[in-house]
Amino acid sequence: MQHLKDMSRMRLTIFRDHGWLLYSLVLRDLRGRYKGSFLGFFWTFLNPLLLMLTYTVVFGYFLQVNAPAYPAFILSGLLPWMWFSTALLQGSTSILEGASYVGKTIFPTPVLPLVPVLAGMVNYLLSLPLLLILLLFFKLPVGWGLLCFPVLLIIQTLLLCGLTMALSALSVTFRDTQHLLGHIVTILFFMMPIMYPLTAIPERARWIVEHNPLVGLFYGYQQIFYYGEVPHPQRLLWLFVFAVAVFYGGQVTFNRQSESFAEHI
Amino acid sequence: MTLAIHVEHLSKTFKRYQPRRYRTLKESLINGEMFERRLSEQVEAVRDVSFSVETGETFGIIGRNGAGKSTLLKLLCGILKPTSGRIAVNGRVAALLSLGVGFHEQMSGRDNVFLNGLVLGLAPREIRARFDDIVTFAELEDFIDAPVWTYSTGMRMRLAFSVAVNVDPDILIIDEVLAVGDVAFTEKCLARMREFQTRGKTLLLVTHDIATMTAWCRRALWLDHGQVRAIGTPSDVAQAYLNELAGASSAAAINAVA
Repeated sequence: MQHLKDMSRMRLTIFRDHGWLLYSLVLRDLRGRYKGSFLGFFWTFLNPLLLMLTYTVVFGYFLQVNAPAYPAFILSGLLPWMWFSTALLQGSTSILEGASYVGKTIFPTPVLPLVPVLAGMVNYLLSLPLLLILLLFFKLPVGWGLLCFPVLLIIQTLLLCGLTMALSALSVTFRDTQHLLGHIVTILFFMMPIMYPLTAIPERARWIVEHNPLVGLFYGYQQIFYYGEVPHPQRLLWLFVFAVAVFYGGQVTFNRQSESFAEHI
Repeated sequence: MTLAIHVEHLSKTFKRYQPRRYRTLKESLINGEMFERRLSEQVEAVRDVSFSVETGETFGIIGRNGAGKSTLLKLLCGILKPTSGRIAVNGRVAALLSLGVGFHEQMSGRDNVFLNGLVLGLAPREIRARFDDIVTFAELEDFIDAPVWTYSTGMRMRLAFSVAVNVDPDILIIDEVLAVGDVAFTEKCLARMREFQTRGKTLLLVTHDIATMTAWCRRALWLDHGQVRAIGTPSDVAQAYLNELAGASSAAAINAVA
């Protein structure tokens, strides 16, 4: 005889109890992403490729940003950014869009915000060959830093899961979240050294940007892929601690709100 | 005897907010009511309900519309969280709730079957093994790859019922959904439910049809305004329920005359 579990609560055991469900929802998300389109899977490469070309023309050629091999530079930060922004925007509406299950049948609600994060990660990994080709093409030094890649991947996953849990829960009661989020994502993108190098920011203002943990994450990607450097271990550790804190915060926010999902949707 | 469901002093209160007159930010700022607390009214949908269902028993819940039956079921399924009280369940629960079946409209019947199976805790291998049975039972062989939004209400119910009985739950909760199918399919469902009973599984039926209750249940509960009015054998509960209904209708008749 066990106490009835509250299905709407986010617990870490969700990965064990509903692993298959999560797996199949992620697979469905990936399959559905380009379903019915003529080029299908190739959009995984075409999307970043088209963005890369645009940024290269504007920043590499028109504005002459100080970053040699600009296509490789932009792509090393843009690919994880695309994962970040898409997961955030999709994740924030995940519970509202799950209205056909939430509160109507037996369904573990907390899997919903995790799906876009994990699907985005797979999509990111699949798009990596594009970057590797560019690295080889521009003969950039590939160093030991690449060994830090899994760490960055884990940090970003934790960070995103925390954020999507919090945002998806908030947007149920506070529907303005989605509208605000669109702007926040755009502002973040411009404020972070993804399409321009960190050195392009005036010395006096640099500290503001440097204290943004997200900058640390995306700069980490640039370090290992583009600069061929090894990220500072202390920085990685601090980023990891930050990501765990965000994950925990997201979980708490989610669980505070989750009791009322069934009543609000 | 082991218990399948045990409910102790269960209550669920909904807060109902008075609709605010000023809906937009601008209006609320102008009227200075931005942070004013809205009056809320407590609606007690389920009030101090206690009962237990033994394993292998068929248990009925009867009551009029709005008595709190659906809320009670949602609490039993873990969809809603109790305001107070305790629920313990022994085994896997599958439910057929009348409000929506939890299908994803854009997905094919096939994908929905898989998704529902996974939600109920089956592994993909187990679903694959039962898949043909599910489709055959629902008589949807020709439509299983069509998206669910193209299905009729009857087709949805057939698929939902078929999934619920074929995933082999320990406890099956049915909320008056059997009225939807045609006679032939209803017969089939009833036969499957009988089989379910004989296999020693627990069945929880919610209905406002007394005949169904007395025919199926070993014990029953009458829920009225969220509270338990009677609990016992179906005939006793039915008697109490009918007396009340008769009283209410004769009172209404007197009012109408006067």
